[in-house]
Amino acid sequence: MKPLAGALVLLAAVVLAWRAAPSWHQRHLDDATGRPGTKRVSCLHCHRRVPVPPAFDGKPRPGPRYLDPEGLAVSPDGRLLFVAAEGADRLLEVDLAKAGVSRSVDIGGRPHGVALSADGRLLAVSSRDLDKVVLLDAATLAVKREVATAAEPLGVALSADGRALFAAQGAADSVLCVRLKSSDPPLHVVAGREPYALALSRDGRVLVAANRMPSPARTRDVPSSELTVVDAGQGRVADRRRLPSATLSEGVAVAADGSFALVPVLRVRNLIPTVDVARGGLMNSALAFVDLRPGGRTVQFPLDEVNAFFADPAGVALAPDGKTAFVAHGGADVVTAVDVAALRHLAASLKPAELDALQDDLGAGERYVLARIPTRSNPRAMALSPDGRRLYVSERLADSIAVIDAPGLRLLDRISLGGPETLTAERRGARRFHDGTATFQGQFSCRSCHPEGHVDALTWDFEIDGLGKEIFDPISLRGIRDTAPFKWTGKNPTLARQCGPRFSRVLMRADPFPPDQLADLVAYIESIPLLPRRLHELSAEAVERGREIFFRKRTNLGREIPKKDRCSTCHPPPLYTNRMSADVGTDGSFDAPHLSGIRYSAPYLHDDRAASIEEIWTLHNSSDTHGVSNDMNKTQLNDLVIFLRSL
Amino acid sequence: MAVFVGPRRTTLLLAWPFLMAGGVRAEGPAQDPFFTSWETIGAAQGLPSNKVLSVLADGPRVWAGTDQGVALLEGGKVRRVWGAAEGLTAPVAISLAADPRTGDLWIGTMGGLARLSAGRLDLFTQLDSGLANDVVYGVAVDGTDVWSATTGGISRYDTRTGSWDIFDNTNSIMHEPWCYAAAADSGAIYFAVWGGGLLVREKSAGRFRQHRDPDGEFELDMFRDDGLIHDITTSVAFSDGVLWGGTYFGLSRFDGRRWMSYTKDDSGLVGNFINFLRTKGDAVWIATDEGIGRFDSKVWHAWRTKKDGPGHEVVVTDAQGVKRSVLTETGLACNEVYSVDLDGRGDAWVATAAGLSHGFARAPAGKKGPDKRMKGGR
Repeated sequence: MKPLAGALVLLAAVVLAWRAAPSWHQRHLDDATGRPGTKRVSCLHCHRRVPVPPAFDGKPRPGPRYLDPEGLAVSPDGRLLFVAAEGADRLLEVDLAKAGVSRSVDIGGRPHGVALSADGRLLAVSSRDLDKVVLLDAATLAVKREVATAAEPLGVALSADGRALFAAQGAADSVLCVRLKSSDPPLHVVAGREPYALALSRDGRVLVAANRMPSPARTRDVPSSELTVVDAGQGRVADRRRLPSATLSEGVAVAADGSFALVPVLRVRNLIPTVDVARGGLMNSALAFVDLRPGGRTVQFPLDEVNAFFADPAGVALAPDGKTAFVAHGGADVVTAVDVAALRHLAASLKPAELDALQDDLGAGERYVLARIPTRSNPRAMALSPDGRRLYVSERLADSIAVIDAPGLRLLDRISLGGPETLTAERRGARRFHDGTATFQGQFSCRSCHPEGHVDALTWDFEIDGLGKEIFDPISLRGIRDTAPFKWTGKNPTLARQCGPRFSRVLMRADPFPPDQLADLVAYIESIPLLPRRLHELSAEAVERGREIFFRKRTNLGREIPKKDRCSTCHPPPLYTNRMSADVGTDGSFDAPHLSGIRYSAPYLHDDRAASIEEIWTLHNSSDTHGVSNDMNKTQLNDLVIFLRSL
Repeated sequence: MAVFVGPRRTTLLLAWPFLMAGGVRAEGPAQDPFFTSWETIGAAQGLPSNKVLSVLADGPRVWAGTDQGVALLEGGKVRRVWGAAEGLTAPVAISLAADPRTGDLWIGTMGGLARLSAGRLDLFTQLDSGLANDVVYGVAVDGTDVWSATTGGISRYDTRTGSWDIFDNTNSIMHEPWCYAAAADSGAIYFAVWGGGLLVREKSAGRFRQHRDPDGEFELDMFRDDGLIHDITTSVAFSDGVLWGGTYFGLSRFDGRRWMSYTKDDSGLVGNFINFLRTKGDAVWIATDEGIGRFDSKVWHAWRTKKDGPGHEVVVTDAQGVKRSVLTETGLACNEVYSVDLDGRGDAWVATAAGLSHGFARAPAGKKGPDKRMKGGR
């Protein structure tokens, strides 16, 4: 009898548990989120061990260390090429006669930009994650000095005499100007958003900075980026030129006399629905010609052609005689050669209305495009030999340098930098991510909206549910590995779904990625690290006060805050997202985004309606639907913002 | 109703030798600090408005903040204006500060803090940034830090990192958050706090200390020179080791060891209701609702429009308290003065409720001016 009774009791328990579990599960979910009727998720959705998201923290990353060559500089005698190997944290010296790396030196922190003094004796290399520029003796590669910078130094420039150093400080929106022989504190002149590349005129008087991101604007305004013109002698901004509809300016060249500048840009039309992909009108590559003289014109000359696009313009080089310019297209594996005299003639002779029309004329290139020179994967930075006869192009995702006969407009040679031979899934995925050929007529790549896996600070009108309805900004891909589901609506449970056939139909307008390529792409996206947290820039006391506010359970008046209205309910650590959707009063229910690295991803909310972190609550939370915040005073809100900036 | 005129000579009505006997010290590049020749620049000359709330001389450039925008003057002429139409959406410009190294202009307004950099305007408000409050009565630049004295406390904006800090009565020794003025020096940042005296941020230690009125809430200065004359401070300035505090009840001076207080009744102070202070060398310029004053710790000067008749006057009070008055044909646009500064030539620029008054250190070239008379007087 006893075994039978035991079996009956066990059966009864199972039945009871079976019947009770759903309701218990639902109650548990409702209790955890504070929202009745929370959509069911598995236990592992919350109760799992989450690894720390990858980050650029100065530590070596696992797996093969690809070199990822970026900035280049050629020695005055044309015998040596210096290469910033961002992936290997090193500066490489290439003996051009032997076509190979002769020496290298550890820089750390992802070296990005390289500059050489006119006499070839002083090298400057930016370390973008360690916030410094390393000055080296070019002959010995010995470190002579380190210059502290603001966040994320990228492009660098040295005056001809090597006495002044300039650095584009991408995450600080400023340009550093330092007199190396002076005890004066460095100058930080305000630039546009994310200054990326610098160029100094040969006479050393004009410094121009290309800014990668569009300048802050109201949501759904026509975006524009800035070309910042600095009086290099005084370290003061002399002019700010607006480049309408232009973003992702990652290169700049300036005429020897400082009379004009050339800036490759991505010309975007994000205010029209994405249906225009089929018509080639969503985004185009262009070369902005900026006449720097007072009252000078700015014209964006298209680099694409009808039915043939060359995605993601990046670096630019201008021949010493000023007659030919070269633009690297990172998403098309091509270098375009441009007749600068033709650009100048058109800019000076056409009427304003004619210039407006020309900027949208994909047939205009035949008037100034000289050649298309193929490269390997992801050409980025470029440098010309002093005599202008050789053009060197960093092929970032091939770990090589293309050598181009500049007058002959043809590929001469290729120098391998000695990166790993094996191609990991992540590496293959990186190439796929940066390759524009997967989209209709090669118009854009994943990277066009997610530069370096990040955001483009634009909103796009996806016509999936009708025109003018789904207006979203691209979510940063940094550190999203464990934050499924994806998409602002949280509809895609995996990145493979997000990037799969549906996406190819609605946006890329091309064949979907084959399964193996899709797997590679997902592997790469999951590996995109977060930027450094830069806690030293924040008041530790304010961070702690903000942390208390973030995790608070009671208002200033002592009233208990409902669970659903606490910050930490929807944004719990370590990912700072509960990976569920909630309606926070912004016209719909949206997936709670993770907050890691939020300081770098303005503007905020699904449609960029909040220009700053503050505006999330000051302008868009009048009814406490996005957490209880209206009891806070300004000081508390500032502490909360500082805490969020520390994540 | 003020009459806006171009530069013109002033007729000196009283003898200059008599005036010079007061032992007035020379100041800046000009030999004559008496400013008897004035012009007024207003809306008719291109200012956005006649109500000028702030003024700042930055090398050859003069910035004037009005209730309808900011104007840039060069060579005494209005060159460019930034108002609401030009993007200064909060156009009531009540304080100005220039970054001496980058050339950027910081504008404290009734609707936030604005930065004018090479023609680009950036506005920071309490809604979109860490600005403590939109009413920015005072702004000061210290290296890469921009300090704002607001009605909701003090904000520090680190232009190098883009981060903001707020200091108020909840997280500092500040008596209450309403702040009126900020001034930067190599060692400290100074703030005038309504009802809270003067607040000093020691840069090396990163902490605050304060100077309060030992008499507390009394509106009488019970014990003269025992400390700050009153807790309701409106302005602060620091130069050559001397801290000046302006209040609604007089002026205080602190040299690091000893306090001195001055009122209209017991000194040459032009008025007790002080709106603004500016130090130039060893002299302090005092903007009040009764005119503009200058004090070099020995001699007082007061410029004001006569209340009891036409014309203007300069009153000089020497170290012994002897007063002498000079009548001038031109002078301030009105006695309600909000701010003052001196440009590189030594000319005075005075923000008044009826226009921007420009006092010539020397009479316009080629014209018979008071400075020639002064030389003759010597």
